[in-house]
Amino acid sequence: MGKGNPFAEADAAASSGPTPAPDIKPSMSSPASSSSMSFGAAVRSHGASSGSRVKRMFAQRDAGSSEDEEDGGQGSGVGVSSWARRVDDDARGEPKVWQLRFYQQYFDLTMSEFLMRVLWAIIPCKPIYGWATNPEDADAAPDENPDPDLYAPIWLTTTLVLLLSVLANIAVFFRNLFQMHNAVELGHSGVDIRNLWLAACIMYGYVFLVPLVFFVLQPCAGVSVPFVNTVCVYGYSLAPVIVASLVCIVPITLVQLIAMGTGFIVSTWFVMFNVWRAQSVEHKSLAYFAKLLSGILHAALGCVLTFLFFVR
Amino acid sequence: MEPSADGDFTIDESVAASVFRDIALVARRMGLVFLPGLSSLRAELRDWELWGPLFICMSLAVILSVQATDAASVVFSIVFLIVWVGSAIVTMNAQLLGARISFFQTVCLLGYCVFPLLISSSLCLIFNHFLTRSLAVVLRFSVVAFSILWSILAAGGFLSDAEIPPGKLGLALYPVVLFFFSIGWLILLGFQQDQQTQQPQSGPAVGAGSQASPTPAA
Repeated sequence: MGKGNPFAEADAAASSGPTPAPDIKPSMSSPASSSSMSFGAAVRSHGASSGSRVKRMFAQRDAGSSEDEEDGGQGSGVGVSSWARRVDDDARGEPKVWQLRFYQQYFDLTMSEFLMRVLWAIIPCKPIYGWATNPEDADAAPDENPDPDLYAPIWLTTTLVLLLSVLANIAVFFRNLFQMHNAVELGHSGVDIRNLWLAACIMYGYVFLVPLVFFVLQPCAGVSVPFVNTVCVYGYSLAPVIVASLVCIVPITLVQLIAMGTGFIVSTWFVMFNVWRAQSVEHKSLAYFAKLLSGILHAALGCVLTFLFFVR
Repeated sequence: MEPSADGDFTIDESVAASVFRDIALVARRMGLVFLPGLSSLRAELRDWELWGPLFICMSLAVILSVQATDAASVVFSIVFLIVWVGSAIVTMNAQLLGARISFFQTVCLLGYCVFPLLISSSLCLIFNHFLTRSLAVVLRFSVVAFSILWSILAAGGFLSDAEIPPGKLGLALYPVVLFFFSIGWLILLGFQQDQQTQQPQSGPAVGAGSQASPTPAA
């Protein structure tokens, strides 16, 4: 008696490594009941929570599909699609662009690798990837030719967007906090969506659309850099800007200008150093023009951000 | 119909028994947020439920919207928006990194881990009401900062029991850090005190300051 049988089955399955009934199933399917449980037994065994009760009732519907939830069952975790997937992982084939699994190849880095890349972005003396000028050298020295990742463009950009929207009104916040006499009202240092929206549009547009422009211009210069590589470069280039923005918490205008200026100088140098790097370029002058263009665009972004969010 | 291996049908029990069982579960999980390190964290993550997150987020939203007198409805909806959109983003990030976690598990996890922030917002309410302004400011900051740290540690504890590939726990945890910081910032913004009520106190200090400044120039 007691919660013995159904949960003992599930625990045994969980502890025995990769089995057809995994520990954590996406969403609505219940992992606590193994696939061999009958519907009657599923209804009879009651769990401690309403969610697991509901899940056990749905477990019967998913009983046939539990076999596909092996190591490859990492697709979209939201609800309904797990019921529809009845095929084995091998039969699903190569991941397509619209499936989440396709982008997992770009998230294949550990925390220490990520931190090292951020460090090389803040102190740009080493290229972020691609010392090799051809694929044979690239495969021969994998440590010096790491794969690009999409984690940095997404999360460094998001961090910068949140920082900018917070710091935009931080002068008012501090004035209210330290009750300086020229802060009139509490007013709108509260939740300000406009700054967040503006920062998000600018930053996400910059990090993902400017590499698109370069990608489109590539055939003219005879360069063949994958789109993701350029996006990765632009993502990591925001690391010095984030550090500079943190310094800009200080409400003195001169400090803010110096900090943002330094941050964007380092960031522009990083971008120019890494965009279209070390490819066998037929039209060298076009490549140099592209690097110059990327530098100018980055400096323009720096001016826009500084005068929109910090210096008023 | 036969009884199950461990008891009766739950459909036959009284409403009070069902309610009290769920309340006991929610209370137990809230306690787990404060005292992690017990054995069955993975089981807690697996059996997700939404009562606890609903109660916690609703309380936090009510507290913050009561404080924000002019933008109350905006603040109320923003709390729920942050929790649900944040959970979706954390789930997608964890799945891209190779973890096997689902959306509702993340909602349950993050909802429970907001509990220290709920306590800190209640404390901020008490501080604003009973303490002097400068002491209240310091205490608000320290309490919110401490609760952000505790929430992050609790969420990290739960996530480390989920199936995240080695070396990627920090990467999966970083959006959670941003999530708690944004909720903490919302709390700090919501509990700013009004300037007008403090005007008479700052008057003499300003007068003394302006009288002191011409003397070095003279």
